[in-house]
Formats: sequence, C-alpha cells, structure tokens
Amino acid sequence: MSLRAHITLALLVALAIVGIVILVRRRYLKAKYSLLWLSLGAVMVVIAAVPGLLDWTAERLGIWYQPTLLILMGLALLLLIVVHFSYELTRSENRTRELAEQLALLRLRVTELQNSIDDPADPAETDEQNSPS
Amino acid sequence: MDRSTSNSSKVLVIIPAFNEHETLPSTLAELKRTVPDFDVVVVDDGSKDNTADLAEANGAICLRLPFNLGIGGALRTGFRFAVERGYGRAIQFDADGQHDASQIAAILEPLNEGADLVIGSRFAGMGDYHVGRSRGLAMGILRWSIQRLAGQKFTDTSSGFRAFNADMLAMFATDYPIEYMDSAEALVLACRADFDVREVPVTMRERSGGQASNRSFRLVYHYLRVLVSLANTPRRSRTPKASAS
Repeated sequence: MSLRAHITLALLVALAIVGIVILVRRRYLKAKYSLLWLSLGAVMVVIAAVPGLLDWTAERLGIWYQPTLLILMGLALLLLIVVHFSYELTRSENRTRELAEQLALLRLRVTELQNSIDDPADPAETDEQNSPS
Repeated sequence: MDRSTSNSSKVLVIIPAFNEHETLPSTLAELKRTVPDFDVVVVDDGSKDNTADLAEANGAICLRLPFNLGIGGALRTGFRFAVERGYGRAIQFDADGQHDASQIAAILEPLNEGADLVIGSRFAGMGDYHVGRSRGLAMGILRWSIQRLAGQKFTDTSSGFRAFNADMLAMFATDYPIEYMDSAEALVLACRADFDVREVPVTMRERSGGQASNRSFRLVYHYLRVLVSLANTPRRSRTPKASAS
C-alpha cells in the first residue's frame, strides 16, 4: 500500500477508536461490547503503523492483491461481532421472556392475595388453592 | 408450599389464548358443563381484545402475559402455574372451539396406565377432519422427520389437545420449545428424554373462530424454522420418576 493510503487508514482508525472511547465513557456503550470494536481498531492501527506488514503477510498467505487481506480481516472481525450480537440478543430475549412469564404468575398471585385481604370473611370468593390448608 | 399437596389429585385445563374473545366464553362454558371439577387457567398471550376479562368473567383463572410470547411461551407459563400449584395432571385445550371437551376423559385415560404425555390425534382412525393438500404434504414431511428423531410413530404431531402428568409438567415448565410449532418439537423433546408418549384418536371440530396461521409464505418460513430447531433438539436424560411421584 502507498504511504498516502497508510495515512488515510491511520486517521480513520484513530477517529473510530476515539468515537468508541467517547461512547464508552458516556455509558452509551457497555465496555464488554466495545472490546470487540476496539480490537478491530487495534488490528487496523498495527497495519497502518507498520508499512510493510500487510504486504508481507499477504505474500506469505499467497494473496496477490494485498489490500484484499485488509478487507478479509475486516470482514472476519465484523462477522465475529455480528454473531456475538446474535448471541447476546438471544440471551436477552430469553430473559425478557422469562420475566414476562414470571410477571404473569406474580400478577395472579397479587390479585389473589388482594382478594383475600379485601374479603377475608368469604374464602370461597378467593381462589380456593389460595386458602391455607 | 403446603398448597401443593392439595392439588395433586386435581386436573388443570390450560388454555393458551390470543385474541379469542369470540370463542372463549363458549369454550369455557363447555368445559364447565363437561368437566366441572377441573380447574381452568387461561393464559392470555398479550391479547389486544378483552380475552383476559372474559376468561375471568366466565370463572377461569387468568394469567396475563404483558406482551405476546407466542403459543410456546403461553403454554410454558401454564405449565409453570401447574407445577407451582402442584397439579398432578394437566390438559392442554384450545380456546377456538375445535377441541371437544367430552373427549378429555379419553386423553386422560392413558395417564393411568403410565403414560407421561398423551396426544389427541385427529388422524388415528377416528373422526373426519380435512386439511388442504399443501398443508397435508407439509405435515407429512414433518411427521416423517419427527418419526425419525423421536424413534416413534405419530399420526398427528401438531395437535394441541394433550394431557400431561406431573413429571411431564415438571420438565415442560422449565424446558418448553418457544419456537413456532412448539407442539411437534415438544413431542421430540419428550421422546428423546425417554418419556412415555402416546396417541389416542379424537375427533375435532372445524375452527369456529379465529384465524389459522397458514398464510403460505409465513408457513414456509416457520416451517423451515421448525426443521432447524427440530434437527437441534438435544437428547437429554430424564429426571428420575421416583423423586417426583
């Protein structure tokens, strides 16, 4: 890659890292999610900082057009991040689901208890499983 | 919980309901007529209509989910309720009027003979219930893959008319498939955990209200989802029966 390309890359990466750090500091982004993005940034920094590195690695891997390696690595990391999000999303959905189910059960319980307080003289009015045995 | 013991001989009817105000009252009335001793819980799956109020007005217990979880989630809530209150048996029953309450006795019967899960089948040689050709084909393919995974033959895997004993309820209260077509996946799950799953023939009526979810495009999408989740149903070991009964 040309020197100009390296400088452009370095600037873009620096901007991205600063952006992510700001988001984390303002608590808009949880640190655990920032890690993957920052590591993506770190890889880019190394590539931008060491001019011969990309070309050298690409040659070792048998890649003819060196910038392809850059795109390939970027894609691989992005894929990782997306899969990670799917994982987190599934987990979070399961928890929401769990909460909704518990809420429905508790809501009924509260109604039953409320009924037994309002009307203690008539236990038949409240749900029968609720009366102490 | 001391109330657990008092319910162990009782049967709970679990009715998952989503916008079923048209048919729910008559279904509940039918249950009250036919099985007056059973407790009935309606799990209102985030309905936009007055399903929950109707359930309570008609003498059922009502669990109100804050938003729509899909039938699997509604059922799991019902199973949890059954386990929490210590019911010895439960029936899964549709709100839309296609199940016949007079046949509840028939699907409860095998539980006495050691079955854990009983499925009321439309196609096991009784009654006449018609499905369209493409739906029939899709159900056929599903039936075949389920048969392979479960190691047992079933004629009606999507039937929502079922009976459960306490062991089955305990497992489904924590582990019930939440994907679409939960009924088929639940079957496989139970079989793979070595539960005794049986089928009995039942007749069903045509749906008297509500909309069957069979718009073809969505059906294909859900169908593929089912195949994926079925293929990934874990084989787990069953919790020892002795501890529960």
